[in-house]
Amino acid sequence: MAEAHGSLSSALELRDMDTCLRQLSDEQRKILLLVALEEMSYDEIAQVLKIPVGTVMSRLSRAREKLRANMEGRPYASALKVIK
Amino acid sequence: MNMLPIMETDLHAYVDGKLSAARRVEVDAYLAQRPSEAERLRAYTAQNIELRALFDPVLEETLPSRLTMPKKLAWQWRRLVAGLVIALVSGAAGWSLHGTSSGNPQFAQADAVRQRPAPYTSGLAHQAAVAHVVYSPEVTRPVEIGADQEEQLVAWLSKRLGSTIRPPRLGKLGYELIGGRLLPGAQGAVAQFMYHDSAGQRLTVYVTTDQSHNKDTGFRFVQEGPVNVFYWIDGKFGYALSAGIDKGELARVASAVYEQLEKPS
Repeated sequence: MAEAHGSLSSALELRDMDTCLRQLSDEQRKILLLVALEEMSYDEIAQVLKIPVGTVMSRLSRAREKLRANMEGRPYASALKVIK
Repeated sequence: MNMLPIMETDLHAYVDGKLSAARRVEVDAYLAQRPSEAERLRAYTAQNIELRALFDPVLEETLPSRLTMPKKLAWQWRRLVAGLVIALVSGAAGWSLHGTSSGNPQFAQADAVRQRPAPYTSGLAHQAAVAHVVYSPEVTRPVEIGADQEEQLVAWLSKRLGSTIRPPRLGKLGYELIGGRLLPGAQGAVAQFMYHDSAGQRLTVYVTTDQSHNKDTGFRFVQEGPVNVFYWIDGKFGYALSAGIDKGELARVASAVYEQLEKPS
């Protein structure tokens, strides 16, 4: 196990990512994975999922922010901010 | 100088590398004034990198220990992504044709290809693309027989397909053979050879022997969702190369495969 040290921290990060990814809604996760892994454009995703590109962007935005909050171990502040 | 306001969409496009160079400079200037926004985008960029690390089988293999991810978890996620992509590819044939005719710049390149896919052969490309997205993300068993047993692989596939089938040698182009598998095709067995480059990018060569009812074709290109495919028919053989790489690079590989088939060494 001596060689494991170098990769241990990144291994833990990946496990965190796995856990946090599960906490997203299906819709959020789907779009995040298509963007990050398939590197599809936002327009392409909107076309294949048959949703407006604005919806793609709002889901992506929420997915990323929720994932960030989860990874940092803080509660996700709802996106429902009051805009005056 | 007038500048369009920086929107949330611009910030995501910045993270995903989808901005023009000029717009990128504007976002950089915007972020320089807003440390907390810059921090947020760094976190998003890190997410992209970690997601790729989580899903990229080759990155995982290069880590010295097997502590990276419990196999079962990794497997579940890859199944999820594979299922997602299959669903997209299944719906993508009509969609990508639609995209081409609507003048979407993304597909303008496809218009420039000399020949458009004919309906009677595009099934080959579609099946190859689906097989690519199903098997290329697999970590534990991307192939049934590995490249270390190439002679057995050739003997087995040749026997099952009823013709001598050898994997093309693509080492000079930077693609190393991982191995192959047998798949069910429309009218019999199909061989799939899988390759990867040093960055872990996977490429598959799909070979069918049930094309005798079709006419020979030259190279044809089709985009099936996230997968680019070059395919052609030569006698009873149908060949399709699939990868998530750009068309130019895939064309080079396709030419090399074609030459090897013409002049077997």
